[in-house]
Parts: sequence; structure tokens; C-alpha cells
Amino acid sequence: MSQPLLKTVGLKKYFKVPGGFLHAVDGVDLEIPRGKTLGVVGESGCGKSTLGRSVLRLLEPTEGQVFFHGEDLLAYDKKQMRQMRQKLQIIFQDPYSSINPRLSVAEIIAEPMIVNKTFGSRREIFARVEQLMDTVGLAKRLATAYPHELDGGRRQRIGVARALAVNPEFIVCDEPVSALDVSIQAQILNLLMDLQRDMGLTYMFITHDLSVVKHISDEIMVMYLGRCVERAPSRELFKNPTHPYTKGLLSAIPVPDLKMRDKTIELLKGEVASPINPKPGCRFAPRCEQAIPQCFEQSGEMIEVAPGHFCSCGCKRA
Amino acid sequence: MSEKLLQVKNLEIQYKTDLETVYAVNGISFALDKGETLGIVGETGAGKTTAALSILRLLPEKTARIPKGEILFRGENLLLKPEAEMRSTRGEQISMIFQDPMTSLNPILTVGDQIFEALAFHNDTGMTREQMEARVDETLELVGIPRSRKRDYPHQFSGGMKQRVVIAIALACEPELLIADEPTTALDVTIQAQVLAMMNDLKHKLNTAMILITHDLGIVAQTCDHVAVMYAGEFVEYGSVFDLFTADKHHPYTDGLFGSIPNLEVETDRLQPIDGLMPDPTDLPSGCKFSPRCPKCMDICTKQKPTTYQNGTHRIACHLYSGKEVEEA
Amino acid sequence: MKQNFKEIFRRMKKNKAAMIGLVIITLIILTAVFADFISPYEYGIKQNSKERLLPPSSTHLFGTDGNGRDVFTRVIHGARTSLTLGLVTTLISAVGGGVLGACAGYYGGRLDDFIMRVLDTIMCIPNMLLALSIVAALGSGIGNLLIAITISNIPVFARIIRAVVLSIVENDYIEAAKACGTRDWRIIHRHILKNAMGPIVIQATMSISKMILLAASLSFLGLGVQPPAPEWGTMLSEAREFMRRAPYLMIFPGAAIVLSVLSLNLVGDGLRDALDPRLKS
Repeated sequence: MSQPLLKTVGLKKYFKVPGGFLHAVDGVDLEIPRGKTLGVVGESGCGKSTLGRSVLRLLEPTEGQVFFHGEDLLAYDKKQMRQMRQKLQIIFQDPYSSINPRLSVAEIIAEPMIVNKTFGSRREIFARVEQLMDTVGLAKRLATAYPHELDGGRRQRIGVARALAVNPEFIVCDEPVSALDVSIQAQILNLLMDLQRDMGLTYMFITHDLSVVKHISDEIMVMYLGRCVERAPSRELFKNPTHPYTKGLLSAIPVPDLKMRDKTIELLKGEVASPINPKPGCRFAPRCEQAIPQCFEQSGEMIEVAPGHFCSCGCKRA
Repeated sequence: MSEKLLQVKNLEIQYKTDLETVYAVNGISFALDKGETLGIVGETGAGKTTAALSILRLLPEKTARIPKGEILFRGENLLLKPEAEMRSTRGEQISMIFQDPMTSLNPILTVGDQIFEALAFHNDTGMTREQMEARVDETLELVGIPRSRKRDYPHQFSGGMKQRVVIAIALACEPELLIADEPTTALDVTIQAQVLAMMNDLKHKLNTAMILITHDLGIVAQTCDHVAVMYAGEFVEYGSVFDLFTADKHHPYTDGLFGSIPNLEVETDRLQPIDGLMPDPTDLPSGCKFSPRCPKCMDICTKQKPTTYQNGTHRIACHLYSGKEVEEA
Repeated sequence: MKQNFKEIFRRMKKNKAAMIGLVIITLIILTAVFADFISPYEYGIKQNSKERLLPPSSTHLFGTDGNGRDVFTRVIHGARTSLTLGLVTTLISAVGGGVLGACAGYYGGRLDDFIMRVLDTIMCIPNMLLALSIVAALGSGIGNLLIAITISNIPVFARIIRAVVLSIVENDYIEAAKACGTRDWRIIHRHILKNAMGPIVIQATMSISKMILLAASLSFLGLGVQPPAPEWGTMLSEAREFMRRAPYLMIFPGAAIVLSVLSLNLVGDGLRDALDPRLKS
């Protein structure tokens, strides 16, 4: 197989907090092939957003490497990184705080091009802005409108257009549809998938919504307390969830189907432990029904349980 | 026929400011019996929360107007009740749970005190202090919080636990009707599953009627008996949960909602979203309010308000089915 | 932006007090601008021993002072000095405080600590005392007065702007700007300060009135504007001698100070209400 577009090795991000270190991302290895989507799922506080920002160096990782086109991004100096940023973009969750309320729609989309001096003249920039607005499905008459005149769905389209303005190859989508209504959510998901098909974009799609992640991803990574617990091709993960946490997560989704109505579901007990100075062993062990003493002592290695399907649960093979 | 616990008839609510009038709720009717759960599904701005708040008479007094309609609770019109009586109804007979557990608790009182306060305020039976304290413990255990945590402050609880406390306060006086406005939206899936399971249990145990406001059709399928699909202040479809999930005929908006959610069982390449946006509630389209976005829109839809098609408990307000219209009961 | 101004003005119009303040301050500004046309400057400084201490009359609207100068002329020319002082010091301290506050808020960490501790130290000293000691060190005169009150006002601006910046930096659009390689200074002026304009304008309006008061107080103590130049504080100070015989010497410049400070505060309050998004109807 050709080299992946993006790859991380042992990526860690710790935050200093009173009383120790918060292990937000704790040794994550991932690979995303060009033109594909890696879905990152997990509950709040599992470090998925920190992972997305560390990959882009919006947060400086504590340890580890991020390879983009085979080159280590973390070895770049400030100037090289600024050049590189055009290839790596991000789309945010909150369509309200992610765009500057004092700039018009056209100004917001033009901003990345002005900053990176992509074009020489104003006319060229404006032509590109119009083209981008068309691509993401914004009417041209909105170019002079201000964000507060627009609804969440349209604002999110502006965010997408802004990310596309610098012709990126890789986009981190950080819960891009979580704040939107279902019907608008579907519009944005379709838009993102169309863009990927037409422009060959590569996505890292961060979300807590399992049905969305299944729909859009080629491969899915499940995170729990800063670690990747399971990684598998999308269909495989839903067919054969292996890690007890993944199983619990999948069974917790309310399905819009009456067949499941009176089925008793296996509820995960308890709550996520604190990510500050975590104990050794499997992070999920305190909530795991199948935990054996070994789980509390050493954390499981990622094992390939099926072709392309990796799981970190140690007790399965013990 | 026995009297329904709650009956809402042709309720209309508007918000008036000096600049514009927002038509938030435009004639909704429904009834609810003891122990039943009604799910109200719809998107932001459909008027779900406004409808819920009106039952508790918690609408902002300065702007909200109710030009038409009745809200009968055990046969009594709540809209005509004096404020003083209403105050004792709230919490005692009707309680509400809000979406955000972080802001609905008082940060400087222990959770035990907050439950105690709710009890003391509605203490008509003359419970003694000890009895009330015992009741606090009981309520906490009911929602799955060990009584040892009674003296803890809200910030010592996680999001899911806080929402349990909120539910405990709402249930402390054993209300007959519980209104839950997106009670699990702010929670993670696994915690949401825990809270929903707990609410289901309690509902059966206490025989409480519930109005559950949500945007998640999955939650509706798992917890509700009746469902109303709300769009632009109207119920476009209403029926039992079986009507909504198994009947052949649906309002095009309901179909749109189902087409918008990615299905975990069936592989779909592309979602079928609803085109366009929610209409501006200050300037609603004439005729059917969904007509500008409707893929099956006909001439008549833009001109005439649709009549209700009824089949058993299933009601759909759409011109598509108006040929087979049955008189509304 | 244009729409914004219209919207703000529309909301402000509802506030009667603010509108009264706006009218008064506009009138004061107009008299200051056209002071020479209303009454030439010479009447304000030329001494005339024949017309000493005349009470208000049709020829001398506000009467004359101990040196026979027309008080009306001196009051309207004093408006020029006071308003200019208020505006210039506010402008300089807003820019200075703005840069310090924005840097402290945006970069955080040690720079933030350093800037804020220095400013805290300055703030420990009462405004008046600080200005007094600066003027005492540099010598009296209008230039030194300007420096003194500007320095005493910078920490106030820096604090407020830092707080505003801290809340703006939280927004995702700042991160989006970083993600496409925007340089820091562009983020600060295009994304942060543009959004901080509201609170800055409110603070500036309030600050002008404070500066006018401070300048008047220092001049009253003889450390600010030197006689015979007309200035409200100086006039009050000179009027002390004749407090019993000619109280109008005190009343008119005093009233001028009260009116301008009050009207500016009313406008500032109105602006704050109009800009507060929570009150948006």
C-alpha cells in the first residue's frame, strides 16, 4: 500500500493542571490514506478534539510524531508550518463561535486567501469567493450579508467554504454537524461527502454520534480516556464490535425502530474516570464487566483481531 | 369516558414585540392520560419548548400572548388559574426538567437541600422535618444516587448525575405530569441510555404522565406511547408510536426527518435531507406551512390549509390524503 | 458596520436620559468649536480693571471676574480646553491600554503576568495622587498634565480590554484564523479588536468625563492649565477669593463641569445598554 497521507506515532498531549497532568491524548497511532475518512468517536472528555487539534499543531503535542506526506510536521519551524497550514484545515462544531461576527460572508471566505497571498488582485479573490460560495451552496446575494443574519446551517457552509479557500488536502471536521438540526445535518453531511468525491479530500471526522460516523467514515477509531480502544473498517466495527466499551457504546444508541423497544440493553455502568494522572492498566477496566485482575495492571496492546480490525482489549486473548 | 389528565385544545401562542409578531404555536391539540408518554419531535424553532412552557404558565409575561386555546389539567383550565394557585400546581402536580442540568441547579445549596426545599414548599400534608428528610433520601435513591451524597454540592457531580438530581427534584412531590425538555441532549450516549432507562422505570413505578420533548427519533421509539411531529407551530402528524413507525402513510415532513438520519441497519450512500430551511416564524407561508420545502407540494398546498386525515389514532395534516378525510372526532 | 450604527442608534433613541445627555454634550461641543464666533478670545484674557466683579447682565451674561474678564467667554473657551484634554488623554490611554491589554490577553502566560502586575501596582496609587506626583515631578503645564492623567488612565483601559480579549480569544474563529496561518498581529486587529470595539467605545465615553474632572481638579490645585488661559478648574480656583461677594464666579464654571460630566455619563450608560446583546429585543 502507498504511504498514508497522514500518520501519527505515539501522539501524546498532556495538560498541566493543579495536582498533576491531564492525559488528554495518551499515545495514539493512526493512519489515514489519501481520499478516505477516519471517524473518531468517543464521549465527551475522551480527547478526540484535542487529538484533532494536536494533529494540526493548533495545540503543540507533548510527545510523538505527526507525518503528513511522510514528513514530520512537528519538526517544522514556525515559518514552514505557516506554509503547511494551507494543506491542513479544520471545520468547527459551533457555527456561531466559529465565524467572526464583524466580517461579511465574502470577507470571511476571502480572509485565508488574503493571509496566504494566494491571489494578486482583489478581483481574483472575489471571483474565487463566488466560486466557493457556489460550491458549498450559498447564494451569491449573501456575499455582503453578516453572520447574524444567517441560520446555523448556512453559517456552517461558510465555515466549510473558508476551510476550502486555501485548497487543503486534509480537513479535520470537529463535530461539524452536532449543533445542527437533523434535516440541516443531512445537508451538510451530503455536502462534505460530495466535496470529498470531487476534490479528493481526506477527512478526520470527530463526532460522538455513532450513526453519523458510520455513514461518513471508511474507518472508525473508538477513543476512551485519551487512548484508542478499537479501530476497524466502518462496517466491520458495527458488525463485530470487539472491545467491551465499543459494545456498550453501540448498544446505548437509541434506534428509531420499534423492534428494539422492549429489548433490554446492556447498559454501561458508572461513568468515565478522571483523565488526571490516570492509573496504569486498561482505562476502561473500572467500568468493564469482564475485567480480570490483569486489566488493572497493564494496558492491552493493539491486536489485529480480523484483517484491518484492531482492538486493545487484553483479556480477550488471555 | 374517564376524564383525561391533560387536554390541550387549539392552543395558539404568539410573542409580540414592538417590531414583529412571532407565531410560535399555531393551534395544537392533544390529550394525555395518566402514565402515558407523549413525545414531541421537531427541529429548533418548531415551538416545542414554547408549548411546554405554556402548560406551566412560564412564558415570558411581557411578550407572550395566548389568543386562543385551552389547557385543561384534570378538567381545570390552567390558563384561567390565578398565579398564586398556579405556583402550588407547579412542582406539585406538574414538574419540568430542562435541557441543561448545569444551569438548573443552585450551585451554593447541597443537592439534599434543594430536594428538601421543593418538598417543604409544597408541604400540604404537614410532613415533619424527619419525614421530609427521609423522603429526600428516598427520592435520591430512586434516581440512583446513594443517600450518602446528599450533602454534596452540584459541582461535585458529573453531568449525568446532575441530571439525575434535577429529575429527583422534579419527582420529589410525585407530580402527575412531568415535562422533560430535551432531558438527555447535553449528555453522552452511554449516560443518556442510563438516564432514559431510569426515567422509563420511574414512569412505570410512579405512573407519571410525561411529555418528552426531543429531536431524536430514536429516543421517541424507545420511550414514548404517543408522538406528535411538530413543524412551524403545528402538529403535522400525531399518533401512537406504532402509527408513526409502522404506518404506510406519513406527512412528507416526517418522511424527510427519517430520510435525514443515517440508518445504522441499512447502508445508504446518500442521505435524503429536506431542502430549504424552517420558515420565518414572523412571516409564515400561507396554506400548508411545509409547502415551500415539500417535495410533493401541489397547487392547493400553497393556497389552502390542509385538513386532517385520520385513521384510528393516526392524524396527518396534509393535502395528499385529504381525499380520504374522516371527520375529526 | 453601517447597519450596526443604525441599530445601536435606534435602541439608544428609546433611552430618554441618554438622548438628553447626547443633546447637551453636542451643544457643549458645538460651543467649544465655534467659541470664537460666539465670543472672541480676547474678552476672556484681557484684563479690564473698570469692569471688575460685575454681576450677570445683558452685556456680561455670566458677569465678570476679579480681573474684569467676561466669565461667559472664559467658560466657553474653557470648554475647548477641557474637552480637548478629555478627548486626547482618552484617545492616548485607549490606544496604550488597548495594546497592553490585548497583548496580555492574547499571549497570556508570563507576559500577561508581567503587564498586569505592573499595572496593578500603578492602580494601587489613587488616580489623583499619581497624577499629582507626576505633575509635581515634571512641573506644571498643559503638556505635563496630559501625560499625568494619561498614565493614570492606562491601567483602567488595559484591564477592561484584557478581559474582553480573553472572552473573544475563546471563540473558534480565532483558532480558524490560526489554522490558516494568520499572523498574530492580524488576528489581534482584524479578529479581536474589531469585536472588542463595543466595550472600548463605552469605556472611552465614560473615561472622557473622568479625564475632564481630573484635569479640572489638577488645574484647581494650580498644577494644570496655568492662568490666564481659561480652564474650568483654574476658574474655580480663582473664584474662591470672591466666593461670598460673587458666587456666580463659581456657579458657572462649576455648572459647566457638572453638565458635561453628567451628559457624557448618560451617553455612556445609554451606549452600554444599546450595545448589550442581552437586551436585544
